Amino acid sequence: MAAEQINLSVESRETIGTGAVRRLRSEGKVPAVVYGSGREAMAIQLEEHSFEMLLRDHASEYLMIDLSVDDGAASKVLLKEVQHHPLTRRVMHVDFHEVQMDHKVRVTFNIHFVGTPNGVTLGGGTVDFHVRAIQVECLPGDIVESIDLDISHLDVGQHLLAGDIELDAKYRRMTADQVSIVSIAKPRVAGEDDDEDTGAVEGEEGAETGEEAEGKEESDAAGPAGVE
Amino acid sequence: MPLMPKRVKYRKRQRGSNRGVATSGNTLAFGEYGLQALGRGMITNIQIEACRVAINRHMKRKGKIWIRIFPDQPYTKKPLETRMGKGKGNVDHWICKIKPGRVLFEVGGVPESGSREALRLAASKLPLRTRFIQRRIHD
Repeated sequence: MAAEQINLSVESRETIGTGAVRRLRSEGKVPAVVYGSGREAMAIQLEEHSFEMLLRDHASEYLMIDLSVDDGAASKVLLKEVQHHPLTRRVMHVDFHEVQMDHKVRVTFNIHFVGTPNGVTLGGGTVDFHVRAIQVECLPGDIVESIDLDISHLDVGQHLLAGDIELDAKYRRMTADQVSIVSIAKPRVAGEDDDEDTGAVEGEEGAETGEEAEGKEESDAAGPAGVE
Repeated sequence: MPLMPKRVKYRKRQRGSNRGVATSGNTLAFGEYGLQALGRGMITNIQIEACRVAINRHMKRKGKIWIRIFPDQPYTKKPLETRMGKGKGNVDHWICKIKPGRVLFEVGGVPESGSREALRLAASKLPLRTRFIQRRIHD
């Protein structure tokens, strides 16, 4: 997906500080900052609605934008960071990084998975997506929103590593080759764990399968850390 | 066996406050669909287990489920018909303090309609308002 030309005109901002930017947001504007290329960081503000429409039309938040401040000359900036409200997902703040077009930058490309794996359609397995984006170094003009990765040939038990992703010579992959991107897990066999209470569960903070938890509890029962 | 820590440094703990919104754990990290808390409160280990069973039962052992919360806070209770005093009660169960925005469960490997229904059933087991969330898809 080739990058398109995106123009954005913003206004410079005099007010800084929590109270001032809160008032700004209540007026439908988003505080932002532009920095880079040896220039002083400059506080700016932009229209919230038009910016959210821009984000909605693009798969990635790593975009090259022609930014013009107070209707001045446009400069090439990279959309470096967009802060969202945790609950409302409203845009709270935006960072623009002014880049030189002949200097390489590190960006994150989303992976667009193409096709349904054979292991799912024929083998009944499930797809495990381990990573949905990779880090790449390239010139700002070569930034794309996503890269396509065909997974239709994968069978049960097979996987794809970051090293398997073929990129053009103009891109340098920064994600390590051994990082697993996607794998096809075996279908759960009835009888292996018949009871639904012991279904495979993974958790960010260490949730385990029921069987494992039970075993550990028994072994810990005599320990001083018992809770009752 | 409901979730609980393997070992803790102190058996009983004060519960403290639960202000603000979830600044971490508020986006989908593993699956395609998830259940996000809109309200604030406490979820017990038994409620988490009930949700997990409801999701697994509806998904008929297909797909994958991720539990993004863990009950690490002990909750004590004095026995019934006990006079006040004589020290703090025994640990009754474990809770997880939830702030608005926290992603509670994620599922993957099942179609949207199945995920939505499974997470709806799970949400009905919880004492909070929640919403169904999914990844942005651009083709």
